[in-house]
Amino acid sequence: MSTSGATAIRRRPRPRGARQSAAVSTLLLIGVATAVIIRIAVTGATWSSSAGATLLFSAILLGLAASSGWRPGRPGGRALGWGVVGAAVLCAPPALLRLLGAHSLAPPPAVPLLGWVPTVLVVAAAEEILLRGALFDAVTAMFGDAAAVAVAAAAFAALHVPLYGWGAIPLDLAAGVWLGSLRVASGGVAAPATAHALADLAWWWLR
Amino acid sequence: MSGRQCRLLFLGAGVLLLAAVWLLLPRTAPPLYDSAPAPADPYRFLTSSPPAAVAAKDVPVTGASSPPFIAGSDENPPQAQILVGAGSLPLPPGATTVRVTITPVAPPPIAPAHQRVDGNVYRFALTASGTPVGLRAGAPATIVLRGPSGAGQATVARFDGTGWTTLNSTPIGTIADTYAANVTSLGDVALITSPSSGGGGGGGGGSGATVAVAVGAILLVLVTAAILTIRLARRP
Repeated sequence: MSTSGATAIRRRPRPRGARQSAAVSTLLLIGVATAVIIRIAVTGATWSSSAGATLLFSAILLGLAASSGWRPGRPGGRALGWGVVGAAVLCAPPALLRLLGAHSLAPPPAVPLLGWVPTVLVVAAAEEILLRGALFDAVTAMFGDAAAVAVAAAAFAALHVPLYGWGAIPLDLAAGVWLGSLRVASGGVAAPATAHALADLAWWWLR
Repeated sequence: MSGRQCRLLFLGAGVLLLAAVWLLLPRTAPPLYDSAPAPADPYRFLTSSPPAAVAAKDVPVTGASSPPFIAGSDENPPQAQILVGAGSLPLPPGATTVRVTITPVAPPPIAPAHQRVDGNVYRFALTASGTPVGLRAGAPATIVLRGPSGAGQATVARFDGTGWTTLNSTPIGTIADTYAANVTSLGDVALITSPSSGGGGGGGGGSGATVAVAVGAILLVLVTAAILTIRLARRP
């Protein structure tokens, strides 16, 4: 899932390649927006039972990433280590709140854990492959890593608005920047995907 | 700057940003960083255990006009939210903060005509440095309410002390039983529904959803084709 080696500061490519990268970036963002619209249309008002729509959404993201030429690399132990560290950072504030007793134990969710876990893993991986994989590569090729982190984080925050509302944007934006920085630090998608998936899974016990 | 320094800079920025958001916009519930179908919290009534949450948020005022802000209760998804645009509040001189409170309250003794209140009644209030403020004329706020599941079609309504006024309400995307409405004044607001209504709240929106899926699918095909064309053009 990861490309090998750490990422150094990227230089801008030649103008023609830059234009093509910008076009691919724009098309990928349009694709993500379309995937969100399709998901909303398929899901309708059944927000809490939309596993099928979520898997369709994930498949669209993976298809877009594949069409852009993104291919999985081989995740190394170092990248997975970065992912675990990344998840720990994402989980630290809610875990601290839990320890301090700032919120009470929520009622058990209405879906079984074993039914929920695969969906979460698939969608987390799909979002990371598209955002911190294909889109990140395309934006980096033209504008560099900082812009790629920003664009991927903005897209990450925006695509969650239909589910969590506008109020979730600051935290999702910050989480997106953190996941992007893991991508820069590790050089591949494995680290942010691992962090993303682990943080989501931890939600079950932290909520 | 070396590659190592660059990576450390990115990681530091990421951690700092996360810490800032958690410190400045504290949450009482852990987030889910995913568009997975997170199980919604069961609806919390005023009498539930735990009861519906009271939300309070202080928004700093930096200029002469009031800032834009969003506030909501802590349930997942929130049961009550308010979105206020920039400059929507007539601020008293010297105001430094705007405080918004969203409080679940007991329903008033007067029921809506031929309808019933669905879920909690929420009292929305705004103060600027301790002074109650309302909304400017022509600057409505948007209130979003989530009701108990399975109640069917509902409408946002406002109680003005003597009776209920229904508001032009819009269902919110994928969040079940959730409706938004613009209000020109605050106060007690709730979802109301027909007494016979119950269930039937699901579904994808009928033909509109089908059209959206069809148009989306066509758009995706075009996007994919365009990306592939660009990739082919890149090859020497």
